[in-house]
Amino acid sequence: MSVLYFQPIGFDDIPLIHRIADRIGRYLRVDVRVGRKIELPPYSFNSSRGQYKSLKIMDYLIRYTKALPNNVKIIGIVDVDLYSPFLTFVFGEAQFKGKVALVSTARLNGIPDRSKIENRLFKEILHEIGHLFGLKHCHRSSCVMAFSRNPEEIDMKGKDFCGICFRKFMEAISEYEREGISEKMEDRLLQEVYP
Amino acid sequence: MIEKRILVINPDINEQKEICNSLKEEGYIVETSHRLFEALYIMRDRHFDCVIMDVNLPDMGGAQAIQVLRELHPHTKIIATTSNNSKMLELTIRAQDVFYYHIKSFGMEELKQAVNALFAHLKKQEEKDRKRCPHLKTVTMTYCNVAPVKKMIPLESVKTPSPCITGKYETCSFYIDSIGGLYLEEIRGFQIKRGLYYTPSHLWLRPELNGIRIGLDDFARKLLGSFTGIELPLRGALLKKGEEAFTLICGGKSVSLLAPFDGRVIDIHESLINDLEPLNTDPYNEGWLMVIHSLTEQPIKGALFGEEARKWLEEDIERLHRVLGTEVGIGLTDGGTLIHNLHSRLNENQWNHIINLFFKRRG
Repeated sequence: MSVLYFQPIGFDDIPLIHRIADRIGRYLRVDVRVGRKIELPPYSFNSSRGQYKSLKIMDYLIRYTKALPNNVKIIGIVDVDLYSPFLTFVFGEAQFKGKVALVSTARLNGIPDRSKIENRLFKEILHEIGHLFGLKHCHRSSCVMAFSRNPEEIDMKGKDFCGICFRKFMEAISEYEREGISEKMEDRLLQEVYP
Repeated sequence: MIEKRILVINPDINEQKEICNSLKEEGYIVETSHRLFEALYIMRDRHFDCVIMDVNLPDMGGAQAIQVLRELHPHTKIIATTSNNSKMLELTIRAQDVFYYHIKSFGMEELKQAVNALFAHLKKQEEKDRKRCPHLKTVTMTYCNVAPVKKMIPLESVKTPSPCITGKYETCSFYIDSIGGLYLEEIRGFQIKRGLYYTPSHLWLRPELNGIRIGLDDFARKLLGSFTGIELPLRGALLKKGEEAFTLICGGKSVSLLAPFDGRVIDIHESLINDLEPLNTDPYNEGWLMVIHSLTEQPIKGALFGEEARKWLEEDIERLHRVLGTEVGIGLTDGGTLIHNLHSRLNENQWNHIINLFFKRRG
């Protein structure tokens, strides 16, 4: 059984996460769970930049979910402005072929249009899931794995993987499903991590 | 587009059949005619790449027939055949710029070889033409009757400001203007200027009359950060491909970039030594570094141009994000642009790694 966990971190709009989880679940045909909200680690804030360091939140998430096996993917969702040491800001960051990814809505709402923000968040989460399953950035501008520098560029890219990325994704996910996690393990996880 | 169409003009029916069958076996489309005027009538409606004509035709013969054919169909190649060879005849026919002079007694195989060679030549010519400047046309000039020469001249619709100085039309300023100029294009926060050549080590090259002007591209400028110093070679210095050519100092760290080809420095941007602002703000124009007179025949061989350069830069940006994300940090990111003064955030090892990866390629 394939499981993705969406973890709200200091994020209040839980119904939005549920809607996205539902869409992602239907699109990827995987089981997507939404965890209970946890608070942001205060040490992740960099006062000189006025932003939160994505790596520190990811590190916190890794420790928080260390009971989960590697083939369970966790996507943290925050509403604060994230940065990576060498970039001005990031919409999201993911461990390449890893376990944890992080997405922020802080920079997604350039236009106060609810459906637009929802679509942008959907694309960004799908993009980071792609990285978790070993996809790199795609040079096709219509592919959801294309790099975007600003919200407008997110709007310009499609909501789907291109043919090549989709094939790679399906290969990776079938591998992931083969490894799987047992029902027993999943029960334990739900008790320990998501009580 | 070459269609491999041949017209055989020969009064002898048996010979005509033999040539026709033999060429059809080779995959050519062959039509036949007994006389020159019949042939000209056929050629009014249909195009032929090649005409194989006997020089002794009943209605007109020898060089005169070739002249008539050449006048009406200047692009059709001619192979002349004869069974009565003489030194005089050969000289007269060859003077008409025929592709091949075939003596029938040498056999059908030789004729076939000549036809194959002709079509190989046409194919090569076609490929060459495809790479030709769209503002030029080829004309055959006859300064004397013996040796017509082909020349490339500008089309009537074009008034070139100066004659072409380079066979590489893609770098010609007139051509560049005609396709919309040397415009800047942005790729994921980095600018690339169309119409320039780029080395894999992020230098731009612009061929000019005396030499090749070089400078740093926007990727190098942004990655290396604000420059505080520069060491340029002296005028007249000899540079060897792959060896250090100049040094940039950026925030206490220095980086030496390599010469892209063998050459002699004929000019340097001296004012940069006192004021590096142009390099920091306008790397593609005012920020040029030096002009090198190449000592090799193809100095820009291996340099990237146009769409190829665009793809290369895209790949390098992706590589940079991956390097900063995986080897220095942890993962892949989406969003944002590279911070200014990256060097100040990198330790010595990370800096050296970036320099070796992007600026020390010996392409």
